[in-house]
Amino acid sequence: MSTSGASVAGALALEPEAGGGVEGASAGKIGMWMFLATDAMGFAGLLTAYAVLRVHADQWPDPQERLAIAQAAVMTAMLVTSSFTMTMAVRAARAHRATARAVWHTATILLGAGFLGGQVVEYGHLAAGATPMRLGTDLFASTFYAVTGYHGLHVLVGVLILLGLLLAPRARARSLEVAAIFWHFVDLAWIPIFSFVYLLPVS
Amino acid sequence: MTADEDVLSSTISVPKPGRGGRLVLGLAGLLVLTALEVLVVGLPVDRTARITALVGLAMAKTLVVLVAFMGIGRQSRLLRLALLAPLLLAPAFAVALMLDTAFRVTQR
Repeated sequence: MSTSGASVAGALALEPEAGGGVEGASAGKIGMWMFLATDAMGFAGLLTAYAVLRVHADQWPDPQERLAIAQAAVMTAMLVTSSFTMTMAVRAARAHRATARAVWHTATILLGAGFLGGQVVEYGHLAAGATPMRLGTDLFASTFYAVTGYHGLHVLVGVLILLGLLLAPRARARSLEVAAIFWHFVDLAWIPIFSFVYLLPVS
Repeated sequence: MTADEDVLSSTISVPKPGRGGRLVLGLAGLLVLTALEVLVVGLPVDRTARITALVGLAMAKTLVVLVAFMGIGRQSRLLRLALLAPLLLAPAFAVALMLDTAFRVTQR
């Protein structure tokens, strides 16, 4: 977690000095892509562990019986919409439209915070339901909390970075663009999680 | 345009103003695909068909994010390959896992 935050911050910190580039990309952008390549392996490892445990488990509950699919779908919609608002914020920043940038940027943060809020509510309902689902309840619960929690931490880091860039008086469009790459990755990582953890039916 | 701005514009892929419609289309596509995913789960069809549909929809959503929002088409060929390779390898790996599981089940 702290490593992720430090790596993202490192890539962002490279931006102000970035002038040239390798194959047409700035240093911060390359740094972010490299970080995301390693981070993607973390997600891939967790999802693979989830798949292997699920395939080899004697019993696996139907996700629809335990999880609120409609709420997860709304959270998904919030996250994909935040990718759109993030892109609009970058466009506005590049066009030097400060007000539009602030609006889209704030909308992205609110949508990210909304996603996190949804996750907190979801965890609360699961832990306090009629049949409480806690971290150690069973394999399904453990893998569910591990995968979605890992992703949630990424969203939290993204929201904090975007908040920092919004409040920074001298934040440049380049820094916002590097942060946008991270934000889109967070969106990308959620797509397989939603499909495989929430929707994939059991036999 | 100053020299610094010139370098900047060449090092960062900047969405052109005309691409606004494409972004809205991308967002609409993602929302529709998400709704379809939820609908597919409730369909009274074979489990294999549902899984195939879910994997297909997830891959379509991934491609939309990569193309519409991340501007993968404007990146260098090397970066495009590095990003698209996992997309192609993932289903191949999934098929291999399924075949492996089927083989193990028949061996029991």
